[in-house]
Amino acid sequence: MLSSVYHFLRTFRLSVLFGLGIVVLVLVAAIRIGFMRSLFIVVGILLLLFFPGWWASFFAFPMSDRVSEGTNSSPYPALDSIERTTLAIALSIVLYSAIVFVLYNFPGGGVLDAENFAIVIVLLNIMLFAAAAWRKRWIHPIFTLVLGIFPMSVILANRVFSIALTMKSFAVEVTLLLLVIILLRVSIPASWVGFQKRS
Amino acid sequence: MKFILHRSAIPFVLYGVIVALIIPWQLPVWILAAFIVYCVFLFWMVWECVSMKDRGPGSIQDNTNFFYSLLVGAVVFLAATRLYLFVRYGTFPLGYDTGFYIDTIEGVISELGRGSGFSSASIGAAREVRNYMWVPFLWLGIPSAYVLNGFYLLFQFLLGGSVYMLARSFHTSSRLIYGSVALFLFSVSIPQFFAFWWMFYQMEFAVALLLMTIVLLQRRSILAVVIGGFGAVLHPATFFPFGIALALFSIVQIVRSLFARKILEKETVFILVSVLIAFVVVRQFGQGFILAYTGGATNDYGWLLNNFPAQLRVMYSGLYIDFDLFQLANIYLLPFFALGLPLFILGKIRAKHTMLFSPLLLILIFLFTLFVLAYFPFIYRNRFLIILDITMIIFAVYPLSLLMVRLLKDHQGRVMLSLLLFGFISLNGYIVWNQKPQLYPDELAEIKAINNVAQPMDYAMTTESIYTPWVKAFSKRETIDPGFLRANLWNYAMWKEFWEGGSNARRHELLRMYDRPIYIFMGNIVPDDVAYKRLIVSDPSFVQISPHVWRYDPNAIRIQ
Repeated sequence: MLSSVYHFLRTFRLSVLFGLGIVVLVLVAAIRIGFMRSLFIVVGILLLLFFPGWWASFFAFPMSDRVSEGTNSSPYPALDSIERTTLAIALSIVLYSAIVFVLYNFPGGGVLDAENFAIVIVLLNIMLFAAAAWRKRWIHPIFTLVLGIFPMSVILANRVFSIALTMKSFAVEVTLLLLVIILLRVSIPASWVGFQKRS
Repeated sequence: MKFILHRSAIPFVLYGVIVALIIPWQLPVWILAAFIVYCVFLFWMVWECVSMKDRGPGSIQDNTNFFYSLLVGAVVFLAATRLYLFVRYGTFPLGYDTGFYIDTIEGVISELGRGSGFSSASIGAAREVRNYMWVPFLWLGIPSAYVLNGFYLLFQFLLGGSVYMLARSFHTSSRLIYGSVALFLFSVSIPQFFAFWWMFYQMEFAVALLLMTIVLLQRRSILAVVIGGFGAVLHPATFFPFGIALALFSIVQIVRSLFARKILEKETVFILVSVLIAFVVVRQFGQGFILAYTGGATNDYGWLLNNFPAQLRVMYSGLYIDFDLFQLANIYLLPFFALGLPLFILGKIRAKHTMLFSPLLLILIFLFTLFVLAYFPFIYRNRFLIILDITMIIFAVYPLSLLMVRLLKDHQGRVMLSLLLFGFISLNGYIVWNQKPQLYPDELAEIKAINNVAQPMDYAMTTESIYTPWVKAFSKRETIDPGFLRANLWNYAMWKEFWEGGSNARRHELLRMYDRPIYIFMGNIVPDDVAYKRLIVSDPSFVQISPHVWRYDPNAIRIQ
């Protein structure tokens, strides 16, 4: 119990520090280029260079070490924060480069432009988050399932209902997704699906 | 007799042989003597620690604060040394290829819009992969200089992070000590700073990916194939020696398991399967790519530098520093590396699996492969020194860690440790402080100004190939250079006549082969007493536009 509380507090503290760091970065950049542009660039850089690899690293290496860990006594390979950050950035570069490659070489003449790429990178982040959440049991599996199939559903729904895949329609669909998740959370008790969190 | 039978005699002899092989003999006698005393002293200190009953770097609890401080200090020092040149010399203080990269990055978006492919100079997947990395950031509206330099600085921190990962993955106790010492040695490494200064853009990222691949192979993660595959496509030359080392390692492990009559460890099986996958992929898809990558030079001249013409040897040696300078630059590190090898060979370094699989055995084979490729006249030999330096750091980590923990125990030891760390830091700091850019900001401004005064079809020209990328990119026009570019009409013999020939009339004749005005750039690197510079400076046919740029109009000479 105590170690769970400690782990939660430590994660919370690191997350708050991370968030504060981002805010400071945005404000410093805003001095030169304006607040909205600064926010756009910083969020874009995070979505490209950090988050995809971060979620993917949790899927591949769910166990975490501390930097000062004495021995690698865990039976599973674990990463400390420095290792995970390094791997996350490298993986992120690989992942978004792969997206550029796929979109550029898409059958039928390529579909690489800024809007398509932005939509795909956000969908990729959602899918990878779902994979990490399933591996780490951060949230109920039914939500990870919804998140995981959401990107494919978006593309299929747009094809079936002939809705143009634009940022506006995408934003509407993400909002709908969040509402569905909240509805599921409220309506389905954890005991119905026997979800047991790891101690 | 007692000495011969003493337990430290054999290791000392082994250590002495290694030191004798790697010592930079070109040093003055008194410095050599001091270096030998330094080596003997280090052996005595470290071997004492090894001989003590409580082997290993010691209790983590006793030294946590110091090694945390070392870790943070290494990161700060790394940031300072990498940012310093930008602060002092402006946006483009690095490298040789910088101009080519700027040229490419500015063409990426427009070529994407035209649908003509990513790079007009593309020779295949390596250049495309690099362009894929840049495209989204250009869409974000970030200026190309920030994209180029931002990524390059990020690669440095990825490289440091991957050295840290590799050192921590040796399955021993006190992983903080190993990680912090490895990162410290990387941050103060002069060869690594030189590699950064040369702007080996793709290679720096590829080396970081290579080290991560080794770590992921040890952890039996499928990501090793993903990361390694991406890195190999990005810069095949970096992964080439690793492929050889993996194959040799596989053979060694199979032979060892046969002699020991044990089944292969899971890690070795994973590596074997990865090697097979890589072999099949390269065999099926990679041969044409490799031929395109080397520009067909290996078809013409083979894989040994001795067969290449003199004017191509510098380029195909990989640029960078040579072996002698590499030895000198690593003077502080060499004794620790020389200690680490016998400690490993004599089984003093503990590994989690000591019978059949040792991560350090893979690094040792990799080090040996790199040494052979760097020491003997293979193509690209100088570039392999960058990776060789990192493998030497890995072997130096254990003896240095032992020494640090031993010295931290008392006051005199802490003073000695401070002096040792100061030596590492001050030598690197001295080199960084005195490092000059290949192109100074004022020279860069003059090259950019050519575009303001010249007509669109006029040529720019550089008489020294070291300035080629800069003049090509920043003059924004067709550029004449000694060798690379298509506007050049002279062969090597003609260039030699222009540089060193005795006839100024012949120089005019060569320049009149071009039909448009030429803006000739001669940077600070060109000595004042070379024949062609004396002509350009004194002959009224050449009009000085700025301190380093002259205008020559062959048509005006013809009319006269």
